[in-house]
Amino acid sequence: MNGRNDYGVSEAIGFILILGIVIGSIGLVTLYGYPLLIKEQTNTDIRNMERTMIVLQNDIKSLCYKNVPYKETSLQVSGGTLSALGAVDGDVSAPRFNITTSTGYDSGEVYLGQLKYASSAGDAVISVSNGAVLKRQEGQQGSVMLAEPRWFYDNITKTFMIYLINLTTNEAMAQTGVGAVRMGLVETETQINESAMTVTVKYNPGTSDDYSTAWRNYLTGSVGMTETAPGSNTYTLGGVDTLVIKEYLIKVHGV
Amino acid sequence: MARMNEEGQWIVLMGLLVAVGMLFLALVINQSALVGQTTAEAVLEFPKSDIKDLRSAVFDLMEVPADNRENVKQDIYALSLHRKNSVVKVDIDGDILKIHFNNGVTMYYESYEFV
Repeated sequence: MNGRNDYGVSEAIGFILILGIVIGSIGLVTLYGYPLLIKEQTNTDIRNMERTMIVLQNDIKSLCYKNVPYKETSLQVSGGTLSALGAVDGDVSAPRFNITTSTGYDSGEVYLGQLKYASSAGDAVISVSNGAVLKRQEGQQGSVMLAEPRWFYDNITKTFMIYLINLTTNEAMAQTGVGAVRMGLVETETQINESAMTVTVKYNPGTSDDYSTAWRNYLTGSVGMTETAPGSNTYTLGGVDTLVIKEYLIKVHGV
Repeated sequence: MARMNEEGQWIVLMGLLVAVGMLFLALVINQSALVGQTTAEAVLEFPKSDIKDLRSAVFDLMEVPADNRENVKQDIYALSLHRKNSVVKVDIDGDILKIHFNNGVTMYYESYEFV
């Protein structure tokens, strides 16, 4: 590049250009990059909590299905609060199940309680309730089931197994940061109904935690029930010879 | 302007390659925790000993006099349901033994012929 003419090059203009680019970049990062970073942090917290809730669900599975009497798990709750909400009979805000059969059996309203994580920055809510891990966005209709409970229909013996997992606490508890969740199995109750029947399961979402979409997808998809009318939250399964309802009472000693 | 020296360009290029590589590794690490967890879960949930216990009980059942088998069978069903949370069905048809096991996660079916 010999012989180039440098008469038009000004050091001042060059400096102003470079300074402008630097200040512009800092401005862009502050305006767009930083909020994006915060959002990404919130998403990471929520993803970590999804995993943590699945770990808690596994603890509950061990308590219920593997004859383990007591479980303690250390965990870190970040970006929100984990609370234990025990089942309170007659609480209109709580979700509940009602199981009836065509032969006259009626379980009554079964209140189940939940372990609930509410994100403080985002609006995600994750719950462990009745052996399922459920997620929804605060103030919105939909919900998803991250991990399914173990209800099943065995079509060779025509047996329908329903598990109801009831969480209780002495008082409402909540924590954030590092802590331990301690749970113990209190009692198990098994009810067996043997006769040809149609089983009806009604999910009442209550007013505070509506997971009806998640339960609808699970009950009509994985379990194979049919909803009586769209949006009714009432599901039936015909041709059942044996209905087994196992109800577990789990006490949350501390979170 | 001074004469430009372009021999350092490979450094910039390597920097770019390393950055892309790190991004890829970060994605892989992000997935690995979840994969490890689901795999461990699947292994833990597989009811290997439940099925072995059931098979052992069913083979013992074959030694039971035929007129008492139904009682023992009902005991096996009840124990499976209460202790293992599984639905079990055993059919003995001459020399052919059929075992059905289902605990909601794993379904197991076996047909066994005694010769």
